[in-house]
Amino acid sequence: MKALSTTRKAIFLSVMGAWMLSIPLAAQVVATKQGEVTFTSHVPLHTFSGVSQELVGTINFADGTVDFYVDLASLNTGIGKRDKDMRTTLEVKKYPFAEFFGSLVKPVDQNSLASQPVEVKGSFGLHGVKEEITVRGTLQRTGSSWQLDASWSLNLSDYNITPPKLLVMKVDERQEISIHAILSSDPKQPVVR
Amino acid sequence: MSSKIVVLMGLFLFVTSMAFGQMKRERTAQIAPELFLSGAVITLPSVTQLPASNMNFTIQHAFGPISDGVKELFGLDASANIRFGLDYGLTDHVSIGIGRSRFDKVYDVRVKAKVATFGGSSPTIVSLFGNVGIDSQDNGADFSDRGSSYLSVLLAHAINEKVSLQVSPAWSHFNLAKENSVFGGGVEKEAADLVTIGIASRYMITEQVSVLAEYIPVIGTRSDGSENAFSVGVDLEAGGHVFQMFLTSTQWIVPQYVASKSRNNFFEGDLGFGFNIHRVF
Repeated sequence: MKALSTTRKAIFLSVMGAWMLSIPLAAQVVATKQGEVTFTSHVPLHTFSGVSQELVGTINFADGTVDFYVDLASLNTGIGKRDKDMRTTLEVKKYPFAEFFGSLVKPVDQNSLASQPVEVKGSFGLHGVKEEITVRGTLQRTGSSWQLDASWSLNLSDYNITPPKLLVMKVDERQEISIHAILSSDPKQPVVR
Repeated sequence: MSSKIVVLMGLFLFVTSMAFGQMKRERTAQIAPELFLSGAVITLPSVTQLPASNMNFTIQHAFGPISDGVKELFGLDASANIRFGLDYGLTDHVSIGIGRSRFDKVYDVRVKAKVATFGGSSPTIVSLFGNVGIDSQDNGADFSDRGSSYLSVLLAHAINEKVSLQVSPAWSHFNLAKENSVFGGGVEKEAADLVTIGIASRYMITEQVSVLAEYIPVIGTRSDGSENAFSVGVDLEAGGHVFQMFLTSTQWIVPQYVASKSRNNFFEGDLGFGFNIHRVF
């Protein structure tokens, strides 16, 4: 067999090295089997929520990376016209996703079955604007799955979003966001409740 | 550092970054295009379906002829037909509703069912619409003579993102075909059964503003002295409301009455102003 050239060797070794490195790390990456995000809005004398069951995300315990996103078109407030107004306000055609990319502040004890407080720092993107945020929540291992719960609030003006009006009542600029997700290294496995 | 080692390191970083970088963002939801903004084009029922558990309150107004001039404030002083309606989405595909109109004091009950949807970004929707009306005027008529009904197939297609077209073959029935004396002598007979082919279109100017037109020709037997109804209007959507302002040749609102009793010809200038307000809760 003809000997490989030095450049070909470099390519071969790079790919093999990355692949070999990814084997132990992949086991430490968990992805959403199911994910839900809820926002709660306030108008005078009234509160309403929007829910999406389409939250997608991964946590990489090896390097602490946390990556989540949701398709904003999947948010459902229970009233079709309100959903449409919301999509218009968020300019969903132009900016389809709300997304977070950051990292765990402290490593997670993967052997513990107790609920662990977690803190992540990173970039939250919405409406074409990215803001550095810190989110606190809990993470609990249940067998081979992990349950993540977290919540925070945001100001619409920070993301260049003008709060919509319902008749003469303006939606509060402050929005409460919460997420609930079940993650697993094998997301195809059914969720065990 | 030799160039080969630089190449090696670059390749390693490139491949590892591909393995552990940010996930690719993929759309998980489709936004179904709205062929019409509300359940009524103007007087004609549209394929737009009220989602499950949503309630829609409607106020519909049709004023007198604009040709009455400034003394009658272009028809606004004349007797207006008004209908209040309340619809409720039983499922995403079936809604029911009730309403009451001023002319002939008609109470009506309606049901709309989406039967089929074809296509994705440019869908075709097939729905069925039925309406039963009861004339509640205090005129001594038997209850069985007060009833009327309307059954229609609604076929609508989004030609593109901006233009929607609907064709609605319909059958209208009145339990009593009235005979009305005409001033100056003679009698005009109303038809007991009428067939109409409603044609409607919407052109979307912006996400919130559209223009509408509908034409409802009667095919075959028709009521004496009646004309085909024609209306043009504008849709404005804001804050959960749909406001419709239109010019129309009919003051009737319940669809079987529109088919039978419309007496004005739009193209001869016999038209009046009207507006509808739809509010979804």
